[in-house]
Amino acid sequence: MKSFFKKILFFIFPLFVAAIMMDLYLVNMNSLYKEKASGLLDHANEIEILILGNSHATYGVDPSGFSTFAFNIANVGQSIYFDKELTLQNLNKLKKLKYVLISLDYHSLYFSRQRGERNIWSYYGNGIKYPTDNYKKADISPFLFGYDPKVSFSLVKKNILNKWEFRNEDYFIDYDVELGVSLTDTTMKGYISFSGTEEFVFNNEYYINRIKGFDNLINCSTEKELVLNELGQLISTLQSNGIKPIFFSTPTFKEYNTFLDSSIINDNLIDSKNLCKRYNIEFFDYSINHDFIKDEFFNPDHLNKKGAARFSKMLDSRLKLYNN
Amino acid sequence: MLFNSIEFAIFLPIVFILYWFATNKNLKLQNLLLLGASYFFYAWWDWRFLSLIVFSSTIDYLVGLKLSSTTNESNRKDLLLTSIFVNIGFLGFFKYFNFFSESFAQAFTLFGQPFEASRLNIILPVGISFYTFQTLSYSIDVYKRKMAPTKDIIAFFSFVSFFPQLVAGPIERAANLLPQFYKKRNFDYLKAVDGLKQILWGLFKKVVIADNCAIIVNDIFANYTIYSGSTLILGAIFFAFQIYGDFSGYSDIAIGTARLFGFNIMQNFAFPYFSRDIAEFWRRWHISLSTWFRDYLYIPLGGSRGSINKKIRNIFIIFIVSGFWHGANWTFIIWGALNALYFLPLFLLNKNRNNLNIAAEGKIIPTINEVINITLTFSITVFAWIFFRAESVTHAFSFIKHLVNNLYIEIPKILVVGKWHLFITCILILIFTTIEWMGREGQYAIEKYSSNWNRVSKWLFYYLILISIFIYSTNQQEFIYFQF
Repeated sequence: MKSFFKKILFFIFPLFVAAIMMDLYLVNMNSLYKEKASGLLDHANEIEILILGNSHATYGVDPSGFSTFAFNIANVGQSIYFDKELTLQNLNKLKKLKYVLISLDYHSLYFSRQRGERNIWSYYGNGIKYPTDNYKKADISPFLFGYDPKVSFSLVKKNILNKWEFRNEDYFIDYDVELGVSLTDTTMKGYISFSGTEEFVFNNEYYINRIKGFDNLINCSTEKELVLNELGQLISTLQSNGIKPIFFSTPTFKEYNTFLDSSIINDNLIDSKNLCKRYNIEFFDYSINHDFIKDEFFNPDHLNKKGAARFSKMLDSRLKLYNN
Repeated sequence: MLFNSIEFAIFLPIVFILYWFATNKNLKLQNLLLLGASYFFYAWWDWRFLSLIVFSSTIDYLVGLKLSSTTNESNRKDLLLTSIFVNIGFLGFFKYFNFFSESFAQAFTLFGQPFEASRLNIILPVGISFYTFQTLSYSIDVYKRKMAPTKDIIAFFSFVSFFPQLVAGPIERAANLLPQFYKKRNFDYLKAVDGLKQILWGLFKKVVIADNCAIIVNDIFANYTIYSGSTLILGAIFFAFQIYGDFSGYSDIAIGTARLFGFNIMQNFAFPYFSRDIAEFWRRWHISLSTWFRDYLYIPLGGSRGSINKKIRNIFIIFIVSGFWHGANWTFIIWGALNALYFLPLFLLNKNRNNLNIAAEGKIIPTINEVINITLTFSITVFAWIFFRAESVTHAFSFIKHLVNNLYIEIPKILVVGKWHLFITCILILIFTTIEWMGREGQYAIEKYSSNWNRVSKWLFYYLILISIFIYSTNQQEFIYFQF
């Protein structure tokens, strides 16, 4: 029996040491969340426009397309609660901030946060917790419970490869921690892009399935009041600081739009109208814009780099009207 | 509590240490610890359903005692029927009530009598199909005087709820497992190490093979209309590996865990995908269930005796019931019937016992004939798995229709994973199949591996398996057989 336990301990010991080393490494690891947060602070004195939202805004709004300094702090699956917290925790540092573009999509008002690892990764990067969620396990070990082993190993692998290729680590961070892949593009003013078009997802079956996911979320959601409340707090605080909040939505592919649930669209329209009226703000709604062609989309509801460049210029020209 | 969870990784060593250090001097105490641990393990899901296990165990314990003291055959029969009624009653209510209710309503509607199905909001208690069969086998064996009833209530309750195999088998026979609770267990170093090896291999099958395949399978079956026929075939093949990795992985962990506590549980899978015909496949797939149905259903029905019609009837009954045991859905019934159809020609031609040995026994390379037979058997099994995996019969048929109508070969592009992930999964399956083939003469694939290696190579091999388990632990999915 003693020999059994001794051997087990000998066998486990290297694994235990490796897990601790991984944790130490991951605590200091860069990520898209950290990169965006530090980018925001680095440029705090220059930023005039802040872009918030989920993946639609993350990939769909390129700050370089604006004539004044813009920064994209949106992230995949980022809810309005995190938009609000990210903005408010940095508000006193953003001295020049004039406009905050808040993404209002088909499903934005129906989820308080995305359940799963992304919230934990966001917490590692931004330090923001969702009040009712438990982060104890994630605090104990990012390797086992936070990034989890698969993503952790992927991050290490990418980091080693970057070093191997003598790349400057500052410019080649691991962007998409979800799949453990780093994009080869560098983050510019918080923006990362999709390249090209995934041709095979432009068909009716894909549209139906994709929308089914959103519709299920929307129809099962009981969080709308909560989200509207968060949004209200964000808008009020911005307005009391003399900053102009503006709603916007990114274009989605025209054929895809035909499968969206019209009753949900109507509800969204009523909600956004009420919000605009209540807070006296404008909505740059491009969700039903049919100008954008397939070539400008990565998939039916995400713009690619090309589409984002044009869309950002469109937003910029509308903002210019305020300045004039 | 999932075997591939942190909770179990904490639970197991605690129970192990208490078992061998705190209670090893007293058999009753050791059994009591196992009983407590098993109930705790089960209650982790839903403590309310513990009452079902306790009730079922109590009934069968009392039925067993009564059966031994009653000589009147009619009374004995009544006692057995009580046990059957309670156990099958629980199973029928929790698992099949809604199915029967809806099927009756559909049948009435079909004949022009619109009928509103009453549907209950029932949660299926985890493992109910397994422990009811296990405890039922005890009553039947005592009734048939194949074994003496036990008076040791702790041993009996521990046998019914033994945590390694409580929720997904193997479905143990009382005659094999129960006597092990009567005898003092001594710690056996080699047995414990062997148990750990089997747990490791089981985790590899579950986490690396099954869960990895599951991501791809789920997407292909959900979005089959956008994929080519070749991608759908790939999806069905991946499902074959998913269900094998998932279920046989669970069985390996269960058997390995039991060995850590000094118990021997029956082998549940004997490398079924290397079978040369469907009869061999069924001797190697989910052995504990197949033999249960053989002993308690097929043979009492007359088995292979009687007229040809009776034989055919018995074959269809056993396969269809076996399919229906898996779930309250017509897809499982069709899956069972399809397997009966595969089996029937072999049975009628008296060729169902042709392949009793292991494929290419004692050799590494199989003959061309063996390769052809293994490939054919695997192919028809994969086809049947489509029904098993589909959400409904309509889903299964339209999946097959789409497969046939779009049968062209292309490099698969899966929505949820990249090409690299798909490629790695294929490589992992290839490595896994090779290891399984090389180790097919053992109880589990790596049983005889590494036994004559030096410690460094041995440990490196184990570390490699462990690291791959860690890497793929992200995609944690519940064991498929929990739903049965």
